[in-house]
Amino acid sequence: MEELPSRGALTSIDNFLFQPRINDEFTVSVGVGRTKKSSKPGTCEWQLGYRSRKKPDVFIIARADFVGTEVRDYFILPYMLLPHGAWLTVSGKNYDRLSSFRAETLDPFFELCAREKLELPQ
Amino acid sequence: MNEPDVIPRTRMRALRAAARAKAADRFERNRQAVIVVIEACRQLMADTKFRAILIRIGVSDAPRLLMRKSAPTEGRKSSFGDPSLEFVIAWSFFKPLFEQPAVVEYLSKKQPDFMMRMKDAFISLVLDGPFPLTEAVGRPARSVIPSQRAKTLRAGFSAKSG
Repeated sequence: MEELPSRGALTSIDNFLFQPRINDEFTVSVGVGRTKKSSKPGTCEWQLGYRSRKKPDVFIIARADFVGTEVRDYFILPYMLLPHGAWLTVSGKNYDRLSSFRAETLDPFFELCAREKLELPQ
Repeated sequence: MNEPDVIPRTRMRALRAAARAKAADRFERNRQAVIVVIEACRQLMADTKFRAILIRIGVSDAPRLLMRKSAPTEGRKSSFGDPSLEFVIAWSFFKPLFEQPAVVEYLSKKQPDFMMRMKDAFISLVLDGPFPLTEAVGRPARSVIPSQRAKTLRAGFSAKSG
């Protein structure tokens, strides 16, 4: 939220959904996907279950280890395209299908939110 | 009595592979169609007359990804591997504009199919995009489950008493 104004983006809180609203156009929600406690060494099984009546337009998954707070990477999902009330459960190999939405940092998301002033050529 | 038809395993594998290939082809066509729509959005934003209309109705800025100049080469890729996110940004920006009379009037004269193409792209992404509608699972709200359970119980009681 702090980075967005530097890119020209407006942030606010949606009064109805109580979710961050970017540029007064779309809402965002964030979830954390953690590795499973019984993960075998050398493997990476992690999972996320998300369902909310307040469906955001963009959903960001921060992938983290079971223990600790360091985020490995992010998945930035166009949640608007999911039907209302859908239950999103992703684990293990299913994350492969989300690989096209994977990002090491949130910079691609900030770039998506960036704005430019509308000007007419002189 | 007729024996039920049994499909050989090899045939089933072939059918499944064909279905997967068809789905992948449909997905790729959708993806390219969405990229074309996003490029159309960029071209519209580069139109000075359209910009003048937006400024007149009070729009002071626009998503940077729509203000980038269109790439001259074909098959341009999005920042992510999938253009759905860029489409979400473009859709969030344009959807409120489709309710502005000045914008609708301009689009109906200069690009009469623009709004329809945006809506079609949205629908195709919901149906066949990164999260196909057929794979989305919805669970009933928690408040429904107790009443369903109550109905089942009541049905059970009345069956016993009958």
